[in-house]
Formats: sequence, structure tokens, C-alpha cells
Amino acid sequence: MGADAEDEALRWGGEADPTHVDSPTPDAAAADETGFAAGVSSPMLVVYGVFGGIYLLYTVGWLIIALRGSQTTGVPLNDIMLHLSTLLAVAAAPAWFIATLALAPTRRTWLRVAVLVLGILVLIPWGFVSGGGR
Amino acid sequence: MSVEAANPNDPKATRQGAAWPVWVVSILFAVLYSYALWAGVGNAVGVPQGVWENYHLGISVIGWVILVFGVLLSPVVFVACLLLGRGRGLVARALIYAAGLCVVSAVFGSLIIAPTIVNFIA
Repeated sequence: MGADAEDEALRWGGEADPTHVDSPTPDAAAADETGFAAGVSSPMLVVYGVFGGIYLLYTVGWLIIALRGSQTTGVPLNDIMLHLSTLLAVAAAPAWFIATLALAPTRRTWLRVAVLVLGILVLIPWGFVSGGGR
Repeated sequence: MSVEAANPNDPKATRQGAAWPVWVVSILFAVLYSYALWAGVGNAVGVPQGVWENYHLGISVIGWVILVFGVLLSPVVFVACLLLGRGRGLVARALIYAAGLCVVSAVFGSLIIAPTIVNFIA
């Protein structure tokens, strides 16, 4: 990287800069950098962020349940599957969130929100809420 | 996403049925899902037995509802994932199956606390 490139980073470029959002000649490459957010409006990004926070809390809840441990049966296959399903339960909230955003079309906002709300109802970490029950 | 077996926009591909990688993925996940079914059946058989041995009493209605729910959960979610994945690529199908398996594990794990909330004994 030469001195020119470093100087380039220190200049704003003004209105005519193609990488400027409001530039009359928008830079296609600059627009591609935000490819994922192309069809997502700012309010929806905030909504997804709030959902993401809730799903993150759920993940922490399931993690605490998992770390609390569970009773073992003594049967090797059962115990392996029990550990595996405990791990999968921790992954459930992020998996639901990622699958919803990755697979539901960006334009069908109501569908995404409905599926995310459904996930919050389905994945309540009851073991954490109730406190007891191992 | 280059390994996508079926083009979602190609009606011919969906009419001809799924390609073999889709079958492999589906069967692999079916095996993983089957554990929850197995555990659900085990509970539906074992819990009433245990209650009878300890108390000489039957299972309450809500108890049976939860036991049957535990049996149905895994197959129902599997079929739902199968339907959701139709016409999608292999990666999308695998993601749906994986998310469904996680959900089954989580909901099944939540069922463990059911005895502390409802009375299983009639």
C-alpha cells in the first residue's frame, strides 16, 4: 500500500465521490458491500436487532440449563445422545434466527417477524424460567 | 451454494422428485430425529410403568397429553421440515433440518420440567 492509498483513506472525497451514498454516480461496488441489507429498511434492521437480542438471551438461558448438567442414565448411547441433544438445545435459538433470516425472502417482512415471534414462543427456556426441575 | 441439487425455480426438477443427495441428507437427519422419537416412546411406556409400580395409580389426562406430545414432537417437526425444504437447494434443506433438530432437542428438554408443573398421577 503506497502513500497515495493511505492519503486516500484520509480524504472524504466530497459530493462527487462515487463511494458516497448520495453521490450522483453511485459506486456499484460500494453498494454491494452492504449486499445483505439491500432490501432491509432501517426500522426493520432495528426490529431484527431486537429479535436478535432476545434470541441471544434465550441462547444464554439454554447455555445455563446445559451447564447446570443433567442426570446420567449409565447407558452409554443414552448419555451420548443426552449430551448431544443438550448441545443442540443451546444451538436452537441461533439456528432458528439464522434459518429465518437466511431462508425467508427479505421482502416478506410479516412472514419473517411471524416466524421469529413463533420461535420466541417455542424456544422459551422453561428449565431456566422455572429454576428447578434440573 | 454451488452444491444445490434442485433449482427452486425449475418446475421440471421438482416434478421429477428429489436428487439422491437430498435423500442422503433427509435419511441422515431422520436417524438423528429418531432418537427423540425413541426417547418419547420410552417415556410413554416407562413413566406409566414407574407410576404404577410406585403408587399403583394411573396417569392423569394432562400427563398422557404430555407423553403423547413427546412421541409426536419429533416426527411432526421432521415432516414440517421436509415440507418447508421442498423445492429448495440442498444447503437450505440441511439448514432447515438442523434447525428443526435443535428445536426438537430444546422442546424435548423443556418437557423434563413438566412433572414439576403438572400432576402426572391420576
